[in-house]
Amino acid sequence: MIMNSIKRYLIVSVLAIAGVASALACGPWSRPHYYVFSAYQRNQLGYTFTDRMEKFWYEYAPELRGNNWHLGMLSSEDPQDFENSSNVIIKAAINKKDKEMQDYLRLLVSYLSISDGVRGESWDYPSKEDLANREKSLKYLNYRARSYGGTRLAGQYCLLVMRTNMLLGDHASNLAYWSSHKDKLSASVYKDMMKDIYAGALVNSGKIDEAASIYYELGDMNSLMWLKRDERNLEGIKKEYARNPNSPSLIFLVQDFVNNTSDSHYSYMKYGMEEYGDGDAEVVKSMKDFVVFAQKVVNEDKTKCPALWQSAIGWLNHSLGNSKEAIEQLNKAMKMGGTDRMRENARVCRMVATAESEPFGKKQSSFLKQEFQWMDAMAKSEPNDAGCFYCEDATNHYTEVMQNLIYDSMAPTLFKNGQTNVAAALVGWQAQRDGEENEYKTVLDNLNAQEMIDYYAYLKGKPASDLEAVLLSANKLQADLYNDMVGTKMIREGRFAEAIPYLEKVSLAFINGQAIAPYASVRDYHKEQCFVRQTAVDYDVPEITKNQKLAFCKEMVDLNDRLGKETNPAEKAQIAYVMANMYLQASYRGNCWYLSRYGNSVMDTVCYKNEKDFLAEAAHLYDVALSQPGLPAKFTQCYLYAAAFLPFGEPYQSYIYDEDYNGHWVYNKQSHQYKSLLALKQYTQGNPPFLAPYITKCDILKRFLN
Amino acid sequence: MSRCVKYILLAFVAVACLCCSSGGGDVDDPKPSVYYWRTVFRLDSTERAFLSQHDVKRMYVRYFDVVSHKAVAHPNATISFAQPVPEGIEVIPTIFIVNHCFRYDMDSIPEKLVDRVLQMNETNDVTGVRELQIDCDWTSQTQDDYFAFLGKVRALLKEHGMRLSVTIRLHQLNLPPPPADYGVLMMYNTGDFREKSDRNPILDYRDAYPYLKHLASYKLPLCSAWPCYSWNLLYSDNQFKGILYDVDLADSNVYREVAPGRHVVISSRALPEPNSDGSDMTWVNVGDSVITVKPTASQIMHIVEAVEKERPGINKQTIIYSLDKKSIQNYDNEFYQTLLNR
Repeated sequence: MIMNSIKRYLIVSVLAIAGVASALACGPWSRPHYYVFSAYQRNQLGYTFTDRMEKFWYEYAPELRGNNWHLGMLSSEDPQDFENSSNVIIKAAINKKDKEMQDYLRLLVSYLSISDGVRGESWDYPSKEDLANREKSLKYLNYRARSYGGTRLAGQYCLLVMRTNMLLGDHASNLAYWSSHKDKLSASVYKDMMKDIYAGALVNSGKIDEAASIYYELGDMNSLMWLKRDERNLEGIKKEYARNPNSPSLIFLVQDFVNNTSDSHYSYMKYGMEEYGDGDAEVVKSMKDFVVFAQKVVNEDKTKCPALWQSAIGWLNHSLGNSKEAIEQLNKAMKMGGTDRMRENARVCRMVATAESEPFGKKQSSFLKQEFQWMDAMAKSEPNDAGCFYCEDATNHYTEVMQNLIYDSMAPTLFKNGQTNVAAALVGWQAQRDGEENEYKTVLDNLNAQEMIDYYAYLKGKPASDLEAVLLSANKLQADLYNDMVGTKMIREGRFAEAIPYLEKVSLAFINGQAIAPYASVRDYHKEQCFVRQTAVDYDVPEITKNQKLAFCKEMVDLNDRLGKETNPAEKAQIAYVMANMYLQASYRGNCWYLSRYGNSVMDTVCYKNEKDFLAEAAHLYDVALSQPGLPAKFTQCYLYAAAFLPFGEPYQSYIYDEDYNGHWVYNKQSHQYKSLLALKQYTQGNPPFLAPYITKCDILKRFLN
Repeated sequence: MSRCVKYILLAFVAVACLCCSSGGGDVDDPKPSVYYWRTVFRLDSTERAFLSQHDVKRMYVRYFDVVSHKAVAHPNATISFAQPVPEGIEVIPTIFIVNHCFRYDMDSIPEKLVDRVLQMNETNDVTGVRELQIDCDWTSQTQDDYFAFLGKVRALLKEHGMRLSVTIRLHQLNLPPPPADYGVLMMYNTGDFREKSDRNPILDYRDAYPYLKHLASYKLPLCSAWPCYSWNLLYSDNQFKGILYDVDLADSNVYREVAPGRHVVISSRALPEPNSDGSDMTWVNVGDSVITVKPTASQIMHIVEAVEKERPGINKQTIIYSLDKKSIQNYDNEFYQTLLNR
């Protein structure tokens, strides 16, 4: 079993990636949170035996590479008609005139065919006679396999003996066969597969502990987890240790305990969860109890791998907040007995504990630079999780630890401590290595305009430490992206005049290449959103020939200037109305949201640092328009209607269910929209000279009137 | 026409009308029954005791499912018989067909299906089989193809002196009855367990009630099937994560009971349980809730009576879903006695 799934998905409060690639919008999204403690390679003997088996056949029949299905289709070959076979493995054996291999393949094909029949599901259900024949054939194959007298294919034939025994349900023979042959065979995938079958026979005969050791050795952690399901706690660990201080199952059980408890405690610390009372207290108590027990194990000196126990002590102590002590313990663990992996695990834990507990300065920077380089080397030497569900995202333990550390721990802490530049650069560096450009874009998107300007200067400046030198050389920010981002951030902060010099520098080629381009090329912020819904976005859209953000800023500056100077009430009202519409369009609820952000979702709100609430601005400007004296009815109606349409604040009504699950609409009478609708209603009931069709035909208003 | 003949005719018409107004009647030869829905046929002592204590004479045994892969229907999860069926119990092979299969060509399947069932009977020494049951969550979209399929299966079974029964889900009562000898009204899985609500997804009167009005006029003989199982539903932030089939909620290292039927996870871990995303591990995380749902005996009996009222005789044969040690211990003997011997 591949332990790729040793990852958890936690909600983190960062910006979301919208459906459109490279487009960003604010809102919570989740990213994996991985376990740090790893005392064994999770795919230590291969994800399954398949890869190693394939490797053998690739060498024997190179044509198989890229045509793996030939291996899977062996079972449908006719053992008596190899001459006419198109299977590349059989053809290779024939072309090589390899009689020994051909004989083996005939038996293998027969076995696989029976095995498919036993395990597979076909419409032809076997008759009693079929079953008898099947048994007879299996016994014959078993006999033939046992009779092999050569050495070259000894592993294959011995495996065939055990496979046929297994299908015959003869577990006792497999126990005996393994015991008598294990020392005669050299290491190979076939021998490991025999051992796996032997473990199954042990389970069948109730020898769970022996089987568990083998599953551990073979890396079959899912089987191990199942067998040891009742011992996945401190009591279970104590029992297993008392039974055998060097039981391989302990490696799994200790790692499982450490990761489960430290991760649980992490969740309590991060999300509170007061509802669960002293759940965290229990977890903490079990962690502390474990530390006491592990210390006893180390002191007793019965274990051959004190590094495992000592690093568990260190990591749990770090998780409990005793990081200084933990770092010393982990330093010790790195020099103790055990496997290389256990000592490496101690080093990984030490790196994380140090990074998370000591302030980022020159000393820590040098240490981390060195450790990050080591982590990179380890990541390269560790196999990825090929064979995983999402192979394109294949990671390994070391890459996952780095992602945890940078994205979830170091960067948030540095941001919190005001070390914005190094935090952003760290994310940029890591994202580049992960091929996760959105992680970086999200961080950049989250900076306010001034932070972005400062960050750009930081990237171009002189590094203050060893690690920063690495980060600065890796992070380059394209001028167009920088100018567009500063301009956009200034728009959302309402700094239209200041945005202009930045936006003027952005090339049209860059604008056309953005994920928001399909929206910008067909939508128009001049349109009144209450009358025109700009919904359709055709991806085969015309090229953008002018920078809409720049035009928007210039118009806003001009309108704002005119609004302040205008003395004619009707004119002033109209300017305010136009500005309100433009604010609405550029808001997170507007059709032209791309003016102020790079992505949009229904979850959006005013979420960026220093972001001005454009909907509140619009509401204010509609009020300004409506407060002008002597407005013609035509305009009053239009402004009232637009104000009632504005999705500002709470909706004017909510649908709630009573105890009997009957739904009711209730009005939110304090909401801006309710008040605006009420104003419109009162207007319509005040004998106006005429009513515009958009009012008389408005369904919402009709319902509201009733 | 003499007065006497007139009376006879009138009486005949009255009886005919009565028959029509009471729908399709109830099943012939009713017997206390259970479903067996596992992939290995092996009964332990508790299950055997249950069968004899409640005089169960009929067992609807799931033989295999029919699923589609690459637009081709094929059998899946075939039962294996590790033990013979106890003497005196009539087996009704039951086949669950995934509704999706009817999007593809099923012309050749009836014959294959019947042949396979007959062969399974023969190979596994299951004797005295006189009926086959098809279970499918068909809808109006697949109705025509499903009914045509059933017609073929029924004709093939007739050649072997066998009859055909089908399961009927509540929502199917709105639709025409399938061509079968009788139907089993499934009075379980009435709700949507993915939605966290106060309704019991196994059986809730509020979910069942809207459909009961169709019972009286439903033109197919019917009997009823009732749940005895419970579900442990895992939720995270009110989002359904999966069903925990083999979970030990008494493990105080991991779960804490915060209210009757509700546990919270106090320590995270991976469980070797199949997940709804197809993987073979399920994560339980701190803060997740495990809601155990199980209708009470009185809730079930209340609905049993409501169903009986709408369609008298429907509960002459009741089937317990399903026979397994863990489930049957959810209710006491009196409950089963009342339900099975009506």
